[in-house]
Amino acid sequence: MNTTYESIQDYVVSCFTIVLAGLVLWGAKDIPPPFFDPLGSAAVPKACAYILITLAVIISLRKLFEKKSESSASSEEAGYRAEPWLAVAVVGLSILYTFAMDAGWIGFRWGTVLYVLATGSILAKGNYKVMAISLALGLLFGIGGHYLFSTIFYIDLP
Amino acid sequence: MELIHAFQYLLTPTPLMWLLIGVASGIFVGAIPGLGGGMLMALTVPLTFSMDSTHAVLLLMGMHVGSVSGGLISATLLKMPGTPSAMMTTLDGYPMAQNGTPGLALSWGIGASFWGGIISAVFLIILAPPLAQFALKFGPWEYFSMVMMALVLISSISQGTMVKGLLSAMLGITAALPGLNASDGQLRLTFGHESMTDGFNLLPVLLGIFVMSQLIKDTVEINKKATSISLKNSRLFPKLSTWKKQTVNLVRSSIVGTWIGILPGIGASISSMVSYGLAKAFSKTPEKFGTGHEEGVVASEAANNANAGGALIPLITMGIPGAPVDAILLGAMIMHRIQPGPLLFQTNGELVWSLMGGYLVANILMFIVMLFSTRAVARIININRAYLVPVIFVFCVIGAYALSNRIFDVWLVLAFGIVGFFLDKAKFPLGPFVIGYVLTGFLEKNLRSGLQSSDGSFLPMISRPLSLLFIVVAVFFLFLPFYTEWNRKRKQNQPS
Repeated sequence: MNTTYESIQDYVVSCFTIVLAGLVLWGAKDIPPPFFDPLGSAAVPKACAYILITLAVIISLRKLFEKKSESSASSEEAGYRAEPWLAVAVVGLSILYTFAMDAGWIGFRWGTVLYVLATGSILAKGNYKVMAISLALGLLFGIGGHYLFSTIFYIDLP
Repeated sequence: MELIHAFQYLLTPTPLMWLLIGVASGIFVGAIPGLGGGMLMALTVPLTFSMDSTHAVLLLMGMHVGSVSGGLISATLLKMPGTPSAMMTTLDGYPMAQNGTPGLALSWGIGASFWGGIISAVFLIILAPPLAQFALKFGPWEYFSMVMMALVLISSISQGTMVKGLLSAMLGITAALPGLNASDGQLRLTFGHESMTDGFNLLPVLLGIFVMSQLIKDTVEINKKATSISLKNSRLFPKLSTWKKQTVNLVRSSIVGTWIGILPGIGASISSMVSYGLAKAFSKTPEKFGTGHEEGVVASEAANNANAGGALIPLITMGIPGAPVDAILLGAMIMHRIQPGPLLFQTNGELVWSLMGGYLVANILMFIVMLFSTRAVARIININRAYLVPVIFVFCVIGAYALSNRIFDVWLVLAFGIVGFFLDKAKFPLGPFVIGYVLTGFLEKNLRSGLQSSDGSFLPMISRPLSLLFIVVAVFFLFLPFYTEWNRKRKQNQPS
């Protein structure tokens, strides 16, 4: 079995696709049969689900029987160090920021100040100048942005 | 005559101002590696809700034109294309800059971008009206099979294998299915959630795929640095006398870019690759390509700018995006109650001519802005990601929330951003996803209309000549990669 990093990625995407297709089939099973037109509401979702499953299986089988080839150049070989955990932290902060506004804990104004400061600080990796500028940007886009979009552009914000 | 009226309108202060803002912001954002025209356009769409529709589309079109050209700056000075379409420019633009002539490299690129845009504008103005007339003969089966052809085309030409492209397209189609089915008022795939009644709105999906996924990628690659080359004491204004030798290359590359742009679903990066390859094949000095040869820069930049104009042709005449980024333009038009397609010439001819004339004016503005702002832009394109990433996400929140005052749409941005990042990482192209998502409603509507008119029979899909032609092309491109692979293996296995 081909177990290179690229193959594992393909297997994961295929599994995700099959699960998604299963979800679509399950969601489509309660749609009533067509009344006005020959197709009905369920036909297209079901067709999409079956095509997705077929394609996912094809991709998995191709990887399974593919000869183990050289993997593409890693980021180290490409001349830089990848930071996947930094990305996880940034996405985590983005989720927290969104959840805090959704739950009503904080509004857009101060939520944005804290979010820009926190994310900028993590990405700054200890550079105090960058952190200070992130704070300034947070205040600018949080307070200033709230005023600009809600008062000038008439966009309601959380 | 309509074109003259369009220019009379476009050269008034307000439309000209929006075009200029669009072009200038597009150049700036397009020059920054990791950002791009798609991101800028997606973030700008919600800001255009209160604008006049024509101004909004002119602004977005200006951004598209500007961003394609802006990518030239970082491609030449940093060896990092600001936009994917500028990838081929790095092959000769950066070496030329390294050899001590960065200004010359940029001047070749700016001039080529300008002429590529102008030539494709001419094709747009000449071809769009008759093509729209021709498209009036299309019935639902022709539209259905044409969209299928577009999806297969973009799947077969995108990065990664064709099967991955098809899967990406199908995922995009699936993402467009939840919500109220317009044909019979039936709710489907909502799983009982009230928020899903309207399905996944276009803007959060675009913001997620184009913006959030790129932000995640930029964070992962935050340590990727580029060696910058200074533009000090470099001449930027191109000498007219040096352009004579590049005339054939320029015209050929522009035509290639325009015609590849016309093919639905194919973007500027493909046209610049094809054009670069052709320029090398026809060159008297092919060995110089990749070492800082102006022919390479001209071929790439003329084609990628011409592609933008070519891609407008199917968008305006048939409502099918010529490139993934045009899906944003399509989405914006629909949000402003403009339905692109052959009837648009009849129902809103002034708007169509304004758009086509606007594209021409945008290229002229791009040329002027690039000449005078390149030095300034070159100084600030290496912006620290620590500033950009959170600020851009804040704009995503504003843009998504502004649509319907729902945090649900912001969650969608996050979700599609994460999905888009992993798909891209696993080399599943995102172009087919976006095109599939945007065209699903159109595809299903025409399929239903066709089946209703044929009493449930699929036969007209192959009995109608145009529809059959599109199906044949789709099948050809569907099996072409398999045949190419089989042929390659057969030659490898043949005894020498």
